[in-house]
Amino acid sequence: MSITTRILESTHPHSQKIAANGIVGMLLFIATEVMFFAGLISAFIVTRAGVVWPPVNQPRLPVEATALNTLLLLASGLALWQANRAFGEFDGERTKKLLGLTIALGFCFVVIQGYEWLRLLSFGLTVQSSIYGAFFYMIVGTHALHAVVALLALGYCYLQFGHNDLPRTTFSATQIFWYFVVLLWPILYVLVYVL
Amino acid sequence: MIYRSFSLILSCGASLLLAQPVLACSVCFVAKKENLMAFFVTGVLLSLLPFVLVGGIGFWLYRQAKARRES
Repeated sequence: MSITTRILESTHPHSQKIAANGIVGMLLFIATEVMFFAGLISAFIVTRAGVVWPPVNQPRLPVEATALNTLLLLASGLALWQANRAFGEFDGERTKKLLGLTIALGFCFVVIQGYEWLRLLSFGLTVQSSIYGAFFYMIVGTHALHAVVALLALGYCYLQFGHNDLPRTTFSATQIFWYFVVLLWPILYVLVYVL
Repeated sequence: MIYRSFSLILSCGASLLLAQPVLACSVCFVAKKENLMAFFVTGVLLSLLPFVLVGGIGFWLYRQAKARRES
């Protein structure tokens, strides 16, 4: 029996599904997101190849402060990983604490990023100031938007868990989205801030 | 005949000597080797990435089905 046949048969009420629809849907969505960011990164790499980068008379990005911020985001991913383990062990109190910690760390990341943006804007780095600024706000801004949406999803999970009404599939799908946000950031950090 | 051949050789020689890179693509900011290499590398990345992603999801589903069957 082929894998396709088995997936199709899994929709039958008497058959067992090999994966929840929510998780497969989220994985497919993440695949499209990966392609979207790959497109942005490719345009960025092509544009900066063979030219002086960063351009002269443009403010330098806060590499050290953002490195610490990156650690916050990675820590939030670790906290969510532990929350998932606690969820599997039916340890409700620990799950709630770790989920709250994940949201708090993620929220700190977004707030610090926003503060750095305000500083860069005051130094004259805007979307229209140069292609350097345009790419910076486009790539980092898109990631920040994803982080905010993922935080809202995690907040929803936190509230639902508080009401003892959080399905495993919803939690897993939200986790996948947050791991995507967390794991994508180091790549963007190295490409945009460090190189 | 000799005059035509001479003109042709002269034209070809001039074309080779005076040839300059032309930025025909709207995103070619510089005509350098680094830019060409960046186009090549990102082109390969964007071409192969969908296969990796779809293949990865397919492999994960296969593993899930195998684990379900064995259990």
